[in-house]
Amino acid sequence: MSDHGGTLASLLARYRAAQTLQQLAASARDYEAAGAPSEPAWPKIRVALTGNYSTQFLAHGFPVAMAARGFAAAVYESPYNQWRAELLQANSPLYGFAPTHVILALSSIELAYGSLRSPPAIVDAVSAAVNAALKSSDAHLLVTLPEPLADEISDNSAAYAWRRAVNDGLRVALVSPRVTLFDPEPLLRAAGAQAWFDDRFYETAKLPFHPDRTPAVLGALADALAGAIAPRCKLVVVDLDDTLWGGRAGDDGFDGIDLDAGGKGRHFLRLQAFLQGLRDKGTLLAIASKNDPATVQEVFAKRPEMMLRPEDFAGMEIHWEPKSSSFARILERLKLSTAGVVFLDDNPVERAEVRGRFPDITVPELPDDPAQRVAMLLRSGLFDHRLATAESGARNRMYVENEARAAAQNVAGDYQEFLRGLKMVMEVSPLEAAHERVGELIQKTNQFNLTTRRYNWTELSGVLRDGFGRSYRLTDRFGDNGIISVVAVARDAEADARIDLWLMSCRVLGRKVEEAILADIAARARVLGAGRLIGEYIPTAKNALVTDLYPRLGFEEIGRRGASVLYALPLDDARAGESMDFIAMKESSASARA
Amino acid sequence: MSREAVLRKLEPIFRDVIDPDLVLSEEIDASKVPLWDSLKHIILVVEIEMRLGVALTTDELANLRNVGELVTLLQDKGVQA
Repeated sequence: MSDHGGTLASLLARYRAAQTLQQLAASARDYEAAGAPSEPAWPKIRVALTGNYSTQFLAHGFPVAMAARGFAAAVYESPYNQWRAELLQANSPLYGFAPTHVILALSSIELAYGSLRSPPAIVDAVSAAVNAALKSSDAHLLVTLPEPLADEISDNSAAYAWRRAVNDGLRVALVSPRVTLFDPEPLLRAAGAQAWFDDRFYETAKLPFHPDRTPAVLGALADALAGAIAPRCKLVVVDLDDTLWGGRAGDDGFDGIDLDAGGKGRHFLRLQAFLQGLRDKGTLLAIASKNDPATVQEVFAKRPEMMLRPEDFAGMEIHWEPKSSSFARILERLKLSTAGVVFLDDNPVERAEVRGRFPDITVPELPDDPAQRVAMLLRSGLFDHRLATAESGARNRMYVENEARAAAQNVAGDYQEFLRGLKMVMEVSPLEAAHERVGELIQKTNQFNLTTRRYNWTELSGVLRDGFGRSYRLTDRFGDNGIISVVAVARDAEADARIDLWLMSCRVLGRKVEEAILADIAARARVLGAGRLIGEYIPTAKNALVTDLYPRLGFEEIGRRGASVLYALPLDDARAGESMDFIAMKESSASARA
Repeated sequence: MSREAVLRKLEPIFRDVIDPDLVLSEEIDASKVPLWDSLKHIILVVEIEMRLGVALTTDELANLRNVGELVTLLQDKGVQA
């Protein structure tokens, strides 16, 4: 590290600690006096600052503010209120500076009471200046929208109507990949009217805000500029169940998921609205969900409460494979690298799986409580505050994007490690007494349900008379998943143990849980003297997921009976005895009975 | 508070904001100090308000270019030790 290194760090620390204009000016002065040091790897930018108020403090602080964000910035400052002349004239000193970025800093005071005044006149003048800049240079423009006037704070509807008209006009007129709009209103709200407005400083120095607000204004402009150069978040990949809606679509049905605006469903809708806002700003959205595609389409088609539509998503990976494989495909298809990708999922296991496979992808720890998620994401700093327009072309990029990753990753080896790391423990209990969760699973499970028999306890007891029943409860590193599977095995004949009922929660698919359960069933059946296991599959509209479960587990099809497809697995088959080293099986204290 | 005492309270502020080597006296005004430009003036006013606990009006802000007048003003406002 060169001698500059230590100096640079302390200069930047001094800048970051600046709370008042005095401290900011001192840190800017020190940075300049040290020769404006930078790291060789930092992109070099040339920022021209022009506007209709005193911008000297901002200009003076810009180099150190951009240095704190990893940019080496040379700064040109227009003379006071010369923005129209400087931008409209092709040979102005501003263009002579050859800026890569132009900041047009407009305050509402001069616009409202100066020569322009009316919203149409303002929009015309700003558009003309911006269009001239787009023609006369290659620079990217950052344009500030006018901030609230002091009169607006004391509830003057005319002032608010004026600003609303100007902002609406500018948002329509300034749509361009090379223009970023910056809204100062959140800054003002955060500071509060008392701390922001001080007319004495406008009168004497043409400063529209109290001088000590300068560090915050400078920071926000620097953030917006840095964000325009290298946007923080390009793609948000989202889960569906318990993330975009309450409940699981596969189990609860399209009509059973919670999107109730009057209740907890409201919080899932808030997240949808938040994502819509990101999408409007140019961030891409994609889905990575373990679900049946037809069920998901039903939700989009039949739930009018949904705010996001299928067309809002640049990719939809809806299947039962590990989510990391979804990411590989999404990134490849969209030609994106992992930089600037965010993954939102309520399930800590899924979060860990993706994080482990793609360490560069940002995977926030979403709060368990859906009500807190949007606030957490807003605070996270992951998403730009600015109003963005579409991405600019390669010419304005200061970074070179990484090459897109190869589609086929070797998921298998890493995935096994991941499964082992989950430290799964399966607690096995007999089905002997009416149990609410078991009953619920029997009635509600649709997708992983081999025979879809909606037994009540009397009927179930009849089936179990000569056979046995098991419930399975899975815990892992992230917590207790509760009872996730129910099995009922009947004895039709001395040698045969038929799996009359087998259902499982889709939440734990893909973790070798099915194999572990089969091993447990087989062990039990063997103890009871059966020679082979019979698997029964009754196809329904919703359980296509398990069409090939038995063949996959090593069973052979032996025939049909009515609506059922029958399979058999001899119990001396080695596979039936295969133990899964990912999952530790534990008999609950109340079992070990025939 | 005596004029001398007010000057002593002002000197560290002037040194922080305008010029660390400045020796403050009542005769000093902005035209005599190259580093006392309009930018510095803003910061100066903000710092005086904050550190001495006074509030200055627009006119007072605009006209404060002479340290002697500043001392009188601060005495009138009852700046304390």
